[in-house]
Amino acid sequence: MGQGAAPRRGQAYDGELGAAVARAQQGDEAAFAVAYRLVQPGLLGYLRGLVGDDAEDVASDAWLEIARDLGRFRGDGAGFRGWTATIARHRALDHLRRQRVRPRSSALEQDVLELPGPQNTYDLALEAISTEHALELVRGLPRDQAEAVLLRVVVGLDGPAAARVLGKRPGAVRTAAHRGLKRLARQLGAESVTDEAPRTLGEST
Amino acid sequence: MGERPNDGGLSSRGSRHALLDSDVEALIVASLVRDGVDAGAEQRAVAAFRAARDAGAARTRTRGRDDWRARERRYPGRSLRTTLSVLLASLTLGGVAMAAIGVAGSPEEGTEDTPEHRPAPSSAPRDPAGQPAPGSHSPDPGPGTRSAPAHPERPAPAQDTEAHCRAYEGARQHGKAMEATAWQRLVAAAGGESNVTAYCAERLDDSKDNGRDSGNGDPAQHDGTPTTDPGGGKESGDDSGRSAETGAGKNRGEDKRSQSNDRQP
Repeated sequence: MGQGAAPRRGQAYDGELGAAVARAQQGDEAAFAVAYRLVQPGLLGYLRGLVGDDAEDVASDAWLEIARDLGRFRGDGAGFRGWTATIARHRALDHLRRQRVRPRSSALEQDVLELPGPQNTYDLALEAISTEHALELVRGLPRDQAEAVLLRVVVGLDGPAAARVLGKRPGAVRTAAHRGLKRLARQLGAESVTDEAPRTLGEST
Repeated sequence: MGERPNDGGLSSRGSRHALLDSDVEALIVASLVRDGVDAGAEQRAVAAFRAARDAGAARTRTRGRDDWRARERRYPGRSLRTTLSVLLASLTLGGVAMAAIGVAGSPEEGTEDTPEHRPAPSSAPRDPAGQPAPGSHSPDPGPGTRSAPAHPERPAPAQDTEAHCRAYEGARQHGKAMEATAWQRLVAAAGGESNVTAYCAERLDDSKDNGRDSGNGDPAQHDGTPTTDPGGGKESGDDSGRSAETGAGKNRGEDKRSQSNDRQP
C-alpha cells in the first residue's frame, strides 16, 4: 500500500467492524452507524470505479439492502466487507444495465473531478499525477481487471473474498488484479515521466 | 514494463517506469477513497436499518450468500468445493441419464410392448415381439393375443434385460436416459455399472442374431441367455409379479405400464 501501517485498506478495522456488526445485528443502531462509517469509504471508492459519479446513489441503494438483510448476514468484519461489496456490486451492475438502456454522457464526471484531494497525506512521488486521471485510468481497465483491483485495493478484500464477490475462481481474480495493476503501473509510470514529477520516490533528481 | 520511449534519456528512466504495485495501489486509493461519510447518506442508511429492525428483519433466514464466516471461505477453495461440485455433477448427470433412458424406452415401445412386460396375473406367456428388436418391430394392434402363444416360454428376464440394453444404447447415442428402476435392474443384471456396456453388447448381439434368423426372435435361443444371468432373472421376474399384483406404480414407468394393463381387456 505504500502507506506503512495498513496492510490493506479496511483490514486494520476489521476487529472493530466485526464487533459493530454483531451489535448492530442485536439491534444497536449506533453500532450500525459505526459499521457504516467503517465500510462506506471503501465501498464508495469501489463504486466510483464502477459507476463514476452515480456511486453515491448506488451506494445508498446498496445500504438500504444491507440494512434490510443485516439479520441474514453471518461472519466477521472481513466477511462483512465482502458481503456488502457483493450487494453493492449487484446494485452497480443493475445501474449499468439501466444506463445501457438509457445511455448518457460518459464524460468524466464533474463531481468526481471536484472531489476534495487525496484522503491521506500521499503527497510524495505520484503527486504530480492527478487523482482524477488515475480514476480515469482505472475506469479504462477491462471490467474484470478493474473490479479485481478495486476489490483488493480499495475495499481491501483478500483473494478468496474478492473471488467470491465476483463469482470467479481465486486464480482468475488474482491474475486479473495482477494484470490490472501492471497495466496501471505502465500507464502511470509513463506519465510520471511525461509530467516530470519532480520527486519520484527519491530516485530522480 | 514501461516501454514508453524516453527522449530525455534520464538516468532514472528505468526505475521511474516501473512503478511498484504499492505505489499504484496507493494512488488508486488516493483517487477513489475519501475519508469520512456524507451525513445525510449515513442517516438514510441508519433509518433503513431502524425500519428493518422494527419490522423484525433480524430474524430472517441466512442464505448461502449471506454466510461469510471464515470457515466457509478460508480453505473451501479446492477440496470441499471441488468435491461437492463433482458429487453434484455426477448426481445431476446420472439423474438426467436415468430419466432420459426411461423417456427413450417408453414412448416408442410403450404402446405395444409394455403390456407384455407386465402381464396380467393369469397370463403366463410373454411376448418377445413387444421388444424394440430392430427390424422386428412392426405395428401390431393386439400384441398380446398375437404373440403370446407364439413364444410362450419366453422368460421375462431376457426381455427386460434386452429392452433395457436397447434403451441404454439409445441413451448413449441420443443423449436420452433411462428410468431409475430399469437402470438399476440392468446394472444388477450386468453385475456392476462398469460391466453394463459389455454386457449389453453381448446381449444385443445375441438378439440381433436371433432377429435375423427368425424374424421376431427365436425363443429357444433366448432361453439360455437369461438363465445364465442370475441377477437379472431374479430381479425382473420378481418385479413383474409384484407389479401385476399391486397395479399401482412405484414410479412413472410402472404407473404407465399398469395403466396400459388396465386398458387391455
